[in-house]
Amino acid sequence: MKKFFLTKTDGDALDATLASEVRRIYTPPAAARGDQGYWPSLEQRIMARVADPVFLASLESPRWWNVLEGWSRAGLLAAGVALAVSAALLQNQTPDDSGMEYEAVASMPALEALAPAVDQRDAVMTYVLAR
Amino acid sequence: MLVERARAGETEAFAALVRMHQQRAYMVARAILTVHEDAEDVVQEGFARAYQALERFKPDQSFGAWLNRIVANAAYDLSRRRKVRTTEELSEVLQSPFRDPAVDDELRTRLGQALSTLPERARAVIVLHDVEGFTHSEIGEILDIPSGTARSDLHHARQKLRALLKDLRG
Repeated sequence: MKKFFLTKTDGDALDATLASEVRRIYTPPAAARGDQGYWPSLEQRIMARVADPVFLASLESPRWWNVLEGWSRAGLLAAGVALAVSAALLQNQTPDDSGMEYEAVASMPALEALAPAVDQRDAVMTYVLAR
Repeated sequence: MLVERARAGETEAFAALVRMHQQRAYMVARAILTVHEDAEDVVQEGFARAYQALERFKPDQSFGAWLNRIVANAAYDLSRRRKVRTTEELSEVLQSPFRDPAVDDELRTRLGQALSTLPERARAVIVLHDVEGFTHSEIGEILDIPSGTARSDLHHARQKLRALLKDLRG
């Protein structure tokens, strides 16, 4: 097998053999086989697309699923987690908890109960002003 | 200037731009996508998008850099739709066009496998820098990352590639 060295020619750059193998891997197959017509044929296909009004119109109008693809995954994930947490909290809430919350609300002093206190304060004010 | 003439509707001027930039545009697409047919599609789409957007091209920019950015964006779009491809499939795809018995099959096979294990961006950075000769800042511009990130991605990609191929050292 051919040996090669991973020499440090540019800091830690790949050596020439390895770089040329990578280049070969990334060369279009037809061009790698020495087909001289590959690039002119690609140019023709590009120019055909550029001249195709239907293709150009398809580039102009983004499809709705492409728009959805652009949505942040993190945002969707966060929404999913929030939903799961809310569902779990609701499920874990026992009937006793609900009862206690109801009792707590029911035992709060009603507005009517505060009314005498307000009247008392008014009476004090009236008394002070009369003096 | 070719861009100005293309903008004025001269098709031959745009064809000249295609001739001038298609090989590098292909390499940008291929560095991201790994599959030849996908890269070809993306290059065609990239040029069509550039043609459509010629009015927005600023004359003080480099046409090649602007085009490569468009091609890279199109490649990333397609890549997101192709995420189901497995590492094994990628490895086969990377090796397939190079079944030339005259060259060293083992190196090629191992290299193909090693490249397929690199993260997408690391692979793109190493190909664009070490094969195509783009600078860190050009790569940053193409891939829409800071040039420092391109530099550190490149360093890590080379380290990983070396580790994967260390038993092939001569």
